[in-house]
Amino acid sequence: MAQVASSRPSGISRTRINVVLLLCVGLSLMTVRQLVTIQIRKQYDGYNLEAKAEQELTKYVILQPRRGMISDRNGVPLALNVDRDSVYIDPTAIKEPAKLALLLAPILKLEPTDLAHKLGDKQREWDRLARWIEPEAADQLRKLGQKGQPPDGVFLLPEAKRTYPQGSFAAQVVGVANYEGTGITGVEGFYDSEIKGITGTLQAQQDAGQQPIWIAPQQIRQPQDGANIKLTIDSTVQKVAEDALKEAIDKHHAEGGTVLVMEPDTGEVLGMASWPTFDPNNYVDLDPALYNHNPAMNNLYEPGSTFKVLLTATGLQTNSFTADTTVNDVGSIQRYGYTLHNWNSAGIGATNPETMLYRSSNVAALQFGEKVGREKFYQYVKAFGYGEPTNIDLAGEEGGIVNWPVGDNWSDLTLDQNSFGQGIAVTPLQHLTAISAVANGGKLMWPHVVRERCTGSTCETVQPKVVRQVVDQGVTDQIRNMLVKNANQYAQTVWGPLTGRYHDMPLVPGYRVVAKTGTSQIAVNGGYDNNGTIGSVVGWAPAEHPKISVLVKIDRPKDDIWGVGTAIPVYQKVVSQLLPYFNVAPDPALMDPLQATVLHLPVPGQPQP
Amino acid sequence: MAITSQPMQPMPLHTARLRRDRAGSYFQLGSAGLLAGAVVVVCILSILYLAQTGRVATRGYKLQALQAEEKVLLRVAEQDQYRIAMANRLDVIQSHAVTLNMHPATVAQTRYVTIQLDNGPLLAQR
Repeated sequence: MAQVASSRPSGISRTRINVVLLLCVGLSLMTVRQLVTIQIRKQYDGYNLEAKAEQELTKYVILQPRRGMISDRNGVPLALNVDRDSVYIDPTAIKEPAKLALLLAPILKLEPTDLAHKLGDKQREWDRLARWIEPEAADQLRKLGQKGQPPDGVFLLPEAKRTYPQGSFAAQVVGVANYEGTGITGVEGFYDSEIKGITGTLQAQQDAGQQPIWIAPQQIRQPQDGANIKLTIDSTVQKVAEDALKEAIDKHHAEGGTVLVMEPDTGEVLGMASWPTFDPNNYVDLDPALYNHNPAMNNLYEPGSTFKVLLTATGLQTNSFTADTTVNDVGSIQRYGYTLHNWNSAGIGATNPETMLYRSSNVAALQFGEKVGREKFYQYVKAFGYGEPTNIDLAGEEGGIVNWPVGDNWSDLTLDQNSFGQGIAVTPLQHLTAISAVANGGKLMWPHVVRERCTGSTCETVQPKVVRQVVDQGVTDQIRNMLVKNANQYAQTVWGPLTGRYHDMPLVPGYRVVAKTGTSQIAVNGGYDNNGTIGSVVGWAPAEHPKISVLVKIDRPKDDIWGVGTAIPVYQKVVSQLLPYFNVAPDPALMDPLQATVLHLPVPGQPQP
Repeated sequence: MAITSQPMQPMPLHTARLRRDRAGSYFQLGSAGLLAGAVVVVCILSILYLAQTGRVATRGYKLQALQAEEKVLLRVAEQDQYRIAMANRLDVIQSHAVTLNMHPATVAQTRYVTIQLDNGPLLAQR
């Protein structure tokens, strides 16, 4: 016992030792508790450490789908995606901003002073200098740095850009997708939900380079690329229409115009050209009213005498009159306190429907309209699709204006005016759809611009739809013959100056084609604008088994107010180029000898040398 | 003549049983042996796991490289598609034709031929 007592240091009491030991035990217990908390319960300071660590590593990434391509009916691309490099900077990593600005400015076409200010702004860590630069500019930037990389602090990141390789070609049909990749007009807008595809997601642990760690579990939902859209538009038809329209606009100093080409049997729109047009690649620099507006389906106008075709069809279909029925055209006529007159106020005398169309008689037309009567007339106006949208697969279509007899705006005078195409507002698309019904034997077809939609390898072909049978084949057969004669009289406008003879002859040598012109006043503020007209023509070719129906409309021409002078040359040019394109062979018998001479063709009826 | 002699086994069954009992002792391990064995097994399993993980990681990086390559190839394909589209612009073709002194065929130059096919006549022009 004495030995044990002597080994204890003197002056340290047992109590103090026990206290120290107790403290050590307490500290150990606290450490163990903390270890248990961290290692087993995986909690610290209220945080779930495991979940926090996983959250740090696991990233949720949205996988963007590719926007679908839009092409014409033959597969010519009209809208597609191209990756272009965008230029980003990290000013904190740039050593000589002023010097770098001088190097970058000519490549990026930016002001050196502004550029130097941006490059030297150390407050910002990340900024975009330019979006979607051309590949040549990107190559130049890479040559400025080392090992094929841009200079320090400058980064090139590829970003998908919606591109329209054909520029303004068919721009109103194709439409525009904005910089966020959302379609806002045209096919881009109407089919946006299908073209843009479905986004995918990737939930995975990622390394420092933002790359997935493959040995960790992943949850992936693959993105579904957008549908590729094939239009009914034929690039050749569209080009012919655009060129002919632009030539007429320039020649007549017109404010605008439209050329529409449709396949009457199917309702497929083969060409839809309007002026003014725009380049969808630069849509941000343009007035939204320009790219949000498709004149072919948004512009309302009074169809004028071209509407007499529909009046004739209605009258013959309802047996209100026959092809032999005559009315007396005295040049002008009094109705309900107003004087209504022909374009030249000249009387024709006894006039049947054919003469009414040939001489474009307003006085005869209103009398034929009265024979049809209010009820039947408007029944067929509705049946031909006026007063409501055609439901074409393009966004923002106008429905036209018809003053129906049940409304407050209708009076007895309205029927008389409507009979010769006044007091009713239509869109070019609506009007050509109705005319196509007369061309194809009486079927009103649904007009459409998309022919096929393909998602992956699955393609869906859009089938033509008959909206309704409006008139009988027998009726359209009668009208066809009337309108062929009509077209032949317009030939004087085109062939008169070339042959020196001004008489009726085939408008398009070798073919029987159909045409009816109209000259419309422009409605403004409840009256008519005396300073301008709209010249137009509707028709189809060939007269039998038509391949195309065509509408031409020239707005406010300055040198010639009549549709015969402004629209017929465009119509003749379009039809004469497109019939050979569709492999319709000309019939030499349907050619005036003078035309044959001008065209250096064998003269019909004369022996060939 | 050398003779190999072997004593007769008086009780062969008993001898066999003894031999079998003795054989068991060859596989008897002490606690140290068991620990060593367990360490060896764990090592082997760890090596197998590491090898498998390494293989998965390698394949993952290969896949990643392939995806990157696919992205680059898609980008190149799109660029080519864009170039083709630009070259196929009708106005570009028209201007090329003009520079080559070509002009549209006139009505007089166009000839139509009808070809008789099984499914009906086909009209073509040249």
